[in-house]
Amino acid sequence: MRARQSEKAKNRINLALIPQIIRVAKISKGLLFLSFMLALVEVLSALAGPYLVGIAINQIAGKGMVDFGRLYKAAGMVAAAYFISAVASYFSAYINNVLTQNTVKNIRDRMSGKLHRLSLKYLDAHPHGDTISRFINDVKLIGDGVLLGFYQLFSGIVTILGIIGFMIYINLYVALAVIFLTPLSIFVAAFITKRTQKHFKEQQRLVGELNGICQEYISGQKVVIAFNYQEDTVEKFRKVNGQLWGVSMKAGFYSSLSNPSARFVNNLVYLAAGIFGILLNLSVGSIGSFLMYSNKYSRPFNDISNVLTQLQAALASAERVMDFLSGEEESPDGDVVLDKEKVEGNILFDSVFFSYTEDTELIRDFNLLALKGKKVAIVGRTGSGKTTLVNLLMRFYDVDSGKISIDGVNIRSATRNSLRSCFGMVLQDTWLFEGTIRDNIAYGMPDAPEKDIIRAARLAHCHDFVMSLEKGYDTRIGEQGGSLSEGQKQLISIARAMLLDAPVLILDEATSNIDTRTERLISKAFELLTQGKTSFVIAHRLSTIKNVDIILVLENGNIIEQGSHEELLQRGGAYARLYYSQFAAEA
Amino acid sequence: MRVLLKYLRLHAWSVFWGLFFKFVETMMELLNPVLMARMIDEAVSAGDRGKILFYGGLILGNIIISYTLGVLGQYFSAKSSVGFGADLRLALFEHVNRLSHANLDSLSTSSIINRITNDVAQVQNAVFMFVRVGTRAPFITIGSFIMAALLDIEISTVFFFCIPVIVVGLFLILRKTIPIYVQVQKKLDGIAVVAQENISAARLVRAYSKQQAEMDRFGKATDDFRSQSLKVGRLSALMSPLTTLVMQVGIASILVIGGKRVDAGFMPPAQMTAFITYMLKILLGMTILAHVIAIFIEAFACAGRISQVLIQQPQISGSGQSEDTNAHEGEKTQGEGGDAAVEFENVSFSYGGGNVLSDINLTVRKGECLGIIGGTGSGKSTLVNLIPRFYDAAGGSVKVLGRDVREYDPKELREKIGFVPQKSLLFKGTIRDNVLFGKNYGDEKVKRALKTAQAHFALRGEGLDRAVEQGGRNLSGGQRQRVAIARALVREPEILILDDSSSSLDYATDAALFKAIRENFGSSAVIIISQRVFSIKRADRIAVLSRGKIVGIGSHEELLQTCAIYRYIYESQTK
Repeated sequence: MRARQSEKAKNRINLALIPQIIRVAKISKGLLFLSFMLALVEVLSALAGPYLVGIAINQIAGKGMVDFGRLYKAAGMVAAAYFISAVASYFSAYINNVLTQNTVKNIRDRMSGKLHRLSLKYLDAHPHGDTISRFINDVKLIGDGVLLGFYQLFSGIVTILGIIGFMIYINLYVALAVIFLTPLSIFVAAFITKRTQKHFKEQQRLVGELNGICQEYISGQKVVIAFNYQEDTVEKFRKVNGQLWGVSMKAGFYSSLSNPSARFVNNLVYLAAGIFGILLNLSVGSIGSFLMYSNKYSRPFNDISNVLTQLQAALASAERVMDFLSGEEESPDGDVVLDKEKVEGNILFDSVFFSYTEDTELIRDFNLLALKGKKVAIVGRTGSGKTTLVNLLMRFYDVDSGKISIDGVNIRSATRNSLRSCFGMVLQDTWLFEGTIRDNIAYGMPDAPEKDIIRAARLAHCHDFVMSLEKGYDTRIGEQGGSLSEGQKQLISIARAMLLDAPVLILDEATSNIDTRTERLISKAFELLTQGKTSFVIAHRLSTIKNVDIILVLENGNIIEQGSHEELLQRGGAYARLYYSQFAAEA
Repeated sequence: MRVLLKYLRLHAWSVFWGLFFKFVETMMELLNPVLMARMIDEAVSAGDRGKILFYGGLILGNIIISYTLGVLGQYFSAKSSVGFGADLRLALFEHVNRLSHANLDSLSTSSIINRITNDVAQVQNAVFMFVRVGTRAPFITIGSFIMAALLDIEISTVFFFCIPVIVVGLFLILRKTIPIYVQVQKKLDGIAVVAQENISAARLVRAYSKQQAEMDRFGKATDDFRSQSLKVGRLSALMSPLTTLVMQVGIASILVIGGKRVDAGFMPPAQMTAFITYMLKILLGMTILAHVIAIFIEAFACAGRISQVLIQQPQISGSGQSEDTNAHEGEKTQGEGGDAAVEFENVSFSYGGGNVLSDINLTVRKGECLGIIGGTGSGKSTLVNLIPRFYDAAGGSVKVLGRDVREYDPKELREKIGFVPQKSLLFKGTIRDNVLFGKNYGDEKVKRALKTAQAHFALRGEGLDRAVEQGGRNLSGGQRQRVAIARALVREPEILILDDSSSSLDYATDAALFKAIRENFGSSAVIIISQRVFSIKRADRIAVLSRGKIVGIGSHEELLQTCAIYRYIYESQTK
């Protein structure tokens, strides 16, 4: 029941979106008006053509009865009418293009701005592919649909009314005969659109399903090969492909009917115009005009029915874009500006409560004081919520109650940018941007001098391999980013944090893809770097964190133990079990 | 490109009937203006009203027959193109499934998927358009010209001038715009790249307070896209007004020349209507043609990309020898091989650059557990990838159960091996589907495998019916790894290979896994790759790899004494 209702809601055109989109797109109303005026000129002058041709033909009465003076004049007017129409058509197409491209750019830029203000909750909850699709496909559909849609709708209606007007002007009764056939046009156009739409929707769904199969099995091809699963994979594909065949066949056939059907109706109108013209004793020229109008009559009906479909799709996209633009933003910024150079890095968690969703409490009454220079390690099984603490510290998420402070300043009252500048962060996922290796290392300090960049790279042990690349620091990531291994990418992102030299460091399993020898070198570098600084390390390998000041043991998001290595071993709890399992083999 | 024709040929009859019906439809349609001119001429000028019924009947009959033919034509055009598209898609997917690792390395996943979906759809659409208008557009143009010429040769000279002007004009515009369209597409990809980066790296952007810089970068990408799109728009906006203008100048000329011809008594005035209708039809035909040419040019690029995949020869295929002799020989050598499960003899390998492996000599016996350790890029994964013949060794030979891997049918070879790759991949379905992965074992066996793999979590709750989302994203990294391990274990392979596939497991689970595997697979050869000494120290023997060479082999204790690199790794992880 609810499904059907939402289905209905989907099919309804939500016109309220249009002014919203126009506002977001900052469409120039002047240009819009101009474009519509030009459309009016284009259509009407083009429609004057057949009328003028008719007048010209009327001057050609028969052998020896041609009024050349009037004929030349009429022919000249035909040429002039079409010339005006052509010029108007060019400029309206031109203006429409400008309007569309501005719309598309403005919406995308607006979305880009929004993206950086959105709460991470929103971003984490929405699949990235879906969000990208809103940036690319939905905006494209809005550009194609909303603007051009309205334009075509307008010019279609003007064409129909114009033709009827000219026909009535020439002869009311023949015009009535043609108008009488109008419902046929509408019926045919509506019939085809309805059929087509249903199948296109289903086709779209199957294409998506097929995409899913490709995505899964082709990216998992090596596993498929390893387990001789090829035949089963192909079978799955074959099944959906077969369904797609059936539906595409119908969708393709019904949609392709629109042209011959339009011709069919046109021809009927053509015939009717001819017969009634003769019966009502019209001149040859007037019949000629009618015949030309009949050729144009059915097309706008088709166009309008197409436009309505397109408009529907565009408005569905508009809804998705507006949904993104109204996504929840980060809570308002504080106004204390922290100075990275002066911050000492005394961090206090004071009875912090936090949960991602209301029904499952994650962090409960968490207290921790990490004074300047202390090292805090966070350990726990996979999925135990170790990254949550990072999310809170950096204010990617806000605590539910309690407070976190840095040097006594509640992080909520500080500006996010100044707060975040106090942290050097290396996350588990290595993100490199399109650009050179230098750009990537200097990401946080675009104007850093070359020697600082190289120094950071040396500390992160990536200088040597960077130099071994043909273009060194100018090697573009992305162009041949594939050739960088996961480990090398991680080294670069470590160098990025090294360069920043922030008072607090956050290292989230930052070395999981690096072999232990290199990791050891890096941790030495980290030791240098963390001297006198507060640091938070999330680690798998317990051996790397023995010397830290405080170890937090997490389980299901809760901190179940905290203390130094020795204290925790003595307690004989979860940490001790975890630690001893590492050496169980020796026993 | 010729590869694709093979699939089109399967639908040759549909294509033929489609073209045929559309051709006849077009020809019939061209008769209407003449009939209409006759009707007007005889009924108006000659005053014979009776003719209306005759010609009106003829035209009506013609309209109905044309429509029927048109519908039939559309049916066959849909049938041929959709059938062709479906065949091609399946063939492409099947082909990709036959490719080997080396092929796959050279093609990115997203580009393959793009080819199977978008490119095939484009080519399919081109075939659709070809059948629909492939005969219609040229014949309506040429036919109208001929009909006009038959009616009055002198007036038809106007057509003779107009058609080439338009053809050249359209050609020039298309030639200029198509390369820009390619640019537009590239710029759109550029926008997608920045959006993708900004979305997935949102934390990083914020951590470094780079919001403004990223917005500027995005703004630049959208600017580039806009300027290219405007460039293309400026040119293509010319197309329709120019063609219309030329044709309408033509109509004005027809009026003038026609006036003279009628005045001189060479033709009746009603024929003027026929000429003008033909002129309009030509205009229509040319517009369609321009549209179709644009589709074709794009489709050709797509077809090129598709054939690039289709012509890839699987670099590893079934052996040249017949199955029988293979099996026979296999038995023979197996006897000689004794209890060796896997043997490397002087093996070397490269991905195209320098040697990734060299001088590898190594034997793993049945029932033995071999650990492999080494730094990033030391060749550990490559080494085990040679066993199921994902790649062929460049030099030396790899033997499985006494027989060279190249002598096996790859399928038969891989049946003997349980391989758990580094990246544990799960697929949409249930836990059961993922463990069985094409096999037909009972639930008991599946559960046993999951238990051995320490995936106890998968036995609780909904158990084997628990849904797994695409890529297993509703499971944690460690859970995915254990299900992926169970997938290999359930097959009870003679050779079990774990390629660093327990890295997300904590030490306790890892240790339990090792123990369970040793207990349950006592007679199989087990090869475990790890970066953690802990995961492999209890193996019977450990091979230490460095820069593609085995630099030490022996038990944990032996290696601590003899192998400096091993000792170094061990110390770095325990101290």
